[in-house]
Amino acid sequence: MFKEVNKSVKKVDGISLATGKALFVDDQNFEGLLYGKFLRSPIPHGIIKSIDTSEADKLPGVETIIHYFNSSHIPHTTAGQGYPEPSPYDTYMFDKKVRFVGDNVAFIAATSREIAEEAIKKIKVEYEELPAVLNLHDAMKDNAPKIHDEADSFGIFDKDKNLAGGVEVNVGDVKKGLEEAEIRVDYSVDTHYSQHTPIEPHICITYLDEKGRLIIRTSTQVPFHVRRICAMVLETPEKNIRVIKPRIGGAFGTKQEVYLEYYAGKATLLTGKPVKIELTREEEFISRTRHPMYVNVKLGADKTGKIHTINMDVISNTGAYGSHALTVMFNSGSKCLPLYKAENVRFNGKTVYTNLPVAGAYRGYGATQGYAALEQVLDILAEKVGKDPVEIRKMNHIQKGETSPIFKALGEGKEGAETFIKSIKLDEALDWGVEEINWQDRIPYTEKTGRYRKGKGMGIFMQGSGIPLVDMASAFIKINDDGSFNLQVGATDLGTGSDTVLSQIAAETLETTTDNIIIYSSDTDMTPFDVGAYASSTTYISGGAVNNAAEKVKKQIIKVAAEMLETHEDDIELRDTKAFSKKNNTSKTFGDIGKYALYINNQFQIGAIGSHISQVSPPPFMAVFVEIEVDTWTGKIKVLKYVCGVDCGTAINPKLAEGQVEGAIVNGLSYALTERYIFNEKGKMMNGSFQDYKIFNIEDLPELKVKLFPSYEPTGPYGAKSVSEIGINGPIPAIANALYNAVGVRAHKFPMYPEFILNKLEKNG
Amino acid sequence: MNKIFVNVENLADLLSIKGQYGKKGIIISGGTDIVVRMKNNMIDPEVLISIKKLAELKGIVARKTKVIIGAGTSLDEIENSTLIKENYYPLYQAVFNMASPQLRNMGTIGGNIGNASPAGDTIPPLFLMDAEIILYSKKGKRSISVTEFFKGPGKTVMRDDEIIHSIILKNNYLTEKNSGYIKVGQRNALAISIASVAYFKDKKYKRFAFGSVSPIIHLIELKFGLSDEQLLKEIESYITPIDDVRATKEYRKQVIINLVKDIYF
Repeated sequence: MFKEVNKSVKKVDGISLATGKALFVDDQNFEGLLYGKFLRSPIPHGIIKSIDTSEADKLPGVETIIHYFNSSHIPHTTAGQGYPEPSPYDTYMFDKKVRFVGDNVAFIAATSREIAEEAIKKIKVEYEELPAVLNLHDAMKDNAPKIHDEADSFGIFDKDKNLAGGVEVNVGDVKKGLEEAEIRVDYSVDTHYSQHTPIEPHICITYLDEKGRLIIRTSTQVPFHVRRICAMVLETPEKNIRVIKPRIGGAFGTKQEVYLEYYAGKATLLTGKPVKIELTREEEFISRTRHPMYVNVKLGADKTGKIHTINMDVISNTGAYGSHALTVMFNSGSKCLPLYKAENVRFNGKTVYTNLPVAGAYRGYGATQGYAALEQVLDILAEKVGKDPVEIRKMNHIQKGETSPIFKALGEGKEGAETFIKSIKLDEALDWGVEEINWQDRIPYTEKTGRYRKGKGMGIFMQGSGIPLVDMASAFIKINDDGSFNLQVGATDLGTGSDTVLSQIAAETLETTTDNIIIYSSDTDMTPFDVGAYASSTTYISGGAVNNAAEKVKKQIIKVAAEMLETHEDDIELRDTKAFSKKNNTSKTFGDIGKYALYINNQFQIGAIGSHISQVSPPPFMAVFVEIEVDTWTGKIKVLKYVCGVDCGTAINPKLAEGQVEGAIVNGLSYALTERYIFNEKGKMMNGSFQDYKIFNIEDLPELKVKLFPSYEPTGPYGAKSVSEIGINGPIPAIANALYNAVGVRAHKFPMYPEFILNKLEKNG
Repeated sequence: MNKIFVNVENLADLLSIKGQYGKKGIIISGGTDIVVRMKNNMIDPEVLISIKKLAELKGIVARKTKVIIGAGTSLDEIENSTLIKENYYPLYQAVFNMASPQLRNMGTIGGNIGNASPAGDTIPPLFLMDAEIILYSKKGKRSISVTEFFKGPGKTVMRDDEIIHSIILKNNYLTEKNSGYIKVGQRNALAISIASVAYFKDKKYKRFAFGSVSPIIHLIELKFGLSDEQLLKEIESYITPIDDVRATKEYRKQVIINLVKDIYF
């Protein structure tokens, strides 16, 4: 049985966070700090003819102004992914072209925020405005303006067609499968823009240390990618840069982007002074978003409801730049299609550029968009063949020991890894959900009348655990005099609790307690490499690295203990922070062993580094049930109860795992019901504040029931899979299915906000 | 950038200072509107006159068939007043659904009225109560009917030297059974109204006041026995909604019609 994992131990940073002692980026003072601000484009598409900074330069306190005409132009991607990134190199610190309202035109560093803001107003820019693409469906038209016609960008799928990325995979014969199917379903959705809205916006402070190295203190998910991308853009080797991640106030994918650090870094290199950039909430909204997508699913089944053919067409809108353009679109296929067994499967994805805000990584990463269509299609199929939605899913979903050809065909912008399902507790979660929501009481919408109508809906989902054969994490562990351990990891705790989870894994392997582990994470000088916190990878991948390092250290401890207890290594057993000789019935504490190795005899540092990559990405699974009430007078949907059963393998820390699921659900409910971008005719976002962009707050929450259904994943540390993203996939399709059950209306556009629903109801009479 | 902040502690000082600065002096109490507007560079007052400590403007008092609410009374105090809940139910409901507890602790009814937003939640209920707004200045006091007070979004009949002193509520028979305030917002709390309806039903007639669907709020009295079509015509003559980031005019209109129908028939 487990001793330290699968236990809700206290968060290792809990007390310091709760008492306000933990330091975030902005909690450190710097002498002579400069404040950085951006001048942003007022037009969606155009050429910068000239920039006149003469008036701004005269303002006392303005230290430097950087723009296209005085900086170098290194094509790169802001996507903080492993090298070489699967995202196109289509971004420059400054380009002569602007591509959306809000694009960076100039950067000012001044001695106060007010002076920087004043300076922005004094910069004169002459633009030649170009026609713009403001809708994803217009991007590929023959006469569409070309958004990326620059010569030196690369990795773009087809510049002439505004295509940042594209892929088509075929298994079996989808055309024939659909033609010959007894039952066909053809359904499309358009998913919408939304933002991660972390409580702490993007912020970084850069400064020079005493040796003249550039130190970047930043709120990031990917410290090592920040170092590499900044080194490239600033044209300096990585050795000159150190990235430190302090505590982080939430990220959800948006801090997997590297788009502030090199501006601040450049200004620091130019002035020698510390520079801070902190985005305003309004800027945050137009910095990185979720990819809006058009998703069409065509499904062929037999009369019993058995699926034989699935075709998914996706057009993803990456906005002005292709950050995560290819991979998010890939994931709409790779994280959705393997859930259902079918002989014929086709995925056809395109990612288009538009002159709208730039999309990026966001919790769910394309799967959320894919499920918005797929899980409604399953309900439509169930209705057509006269079966219960739960039954139709049970008879079609992937089972233990099975695989899907999609795992191999679709990876992270390239081929993936063949994956056989080794752990799945989906049916158990389904059976529990059926009970919790009283599924058997569900009646069709045709039997409902009155102003308020209730409905029930459901859906099943999967995600992945890290990126197989790509994501690498490492960890370093050493023993101290008292038998405590330092654990140094590149892994990045964003408030997710990974420092706690990784400490628990180290403690379990080392046969000690979690409070005997001193963790330090995410510092490119002090901790070993880790790709960072994304793709639901930290527990699974970084946890594997910690386990590897701990296993090596454990061997060294046993060796020293054997020497001290004058016995064989085989005779040593580690337990409760002690080493025992079974034969002699003697023991030494880890403190004795630490001191012995450091001071007494055959001295050496007990310590080791461990790395880990995974051959597979085992999916967590989830069943969701929801009950809603629709006000047919106002169109408002009220979520009454939300039931969610999750199989994440072994939950290393069950309370933190439940917290991840609950957070993702609230995140997803907002996305499904209230969050929306309102653009004017130039593609400018008009509601970039929390006053007019509504995320759920406590009063909006339904009764929320989350239950973990632990399976054991043999490839994960102590049986763990992932849990951080999957929860966000549920709300849209489950609520859409409940909406249909309540009033007979299908939602194909989102969010399902009152006006949209009322219009639909009016049309239906 | 630098502002003068004056903390007044009695009414005479307030009237004198407001008289002195006029338009340049903005009255601040809870600051729930003013501070946000200043932060967003929508206003840049030279002088902020705080009435936070002015006890004379706070409190709810019953006088025979009337109730007087001081302009500086917090929304929270109104929400928790049995007097208001039992006799002026739509006002209670409006306040209950406003903003968040924190904002209701700070925000005042005088501020909500003085702000003169068509989406101000306390305003439509006041129409059902034939409320009077009591204004003071150094020159004296005057009483304006709520139907005369508003002149457009952000505009009132107030002179630059005047302050809102109190609000007098009449018709103390608006109970949970015969009246109410229905608000449609983007979510359940901390949401500005997209459309709202304050209503009162009697044996002879029904009274309505709509929020967020016209620049000036009207009191609408409808007799019994109107047909569906007549009702629609009546409603339409009073509402001129606009498109904004919260909703379209078509939606606002449709919601008002649906809600009124529900109450009327």
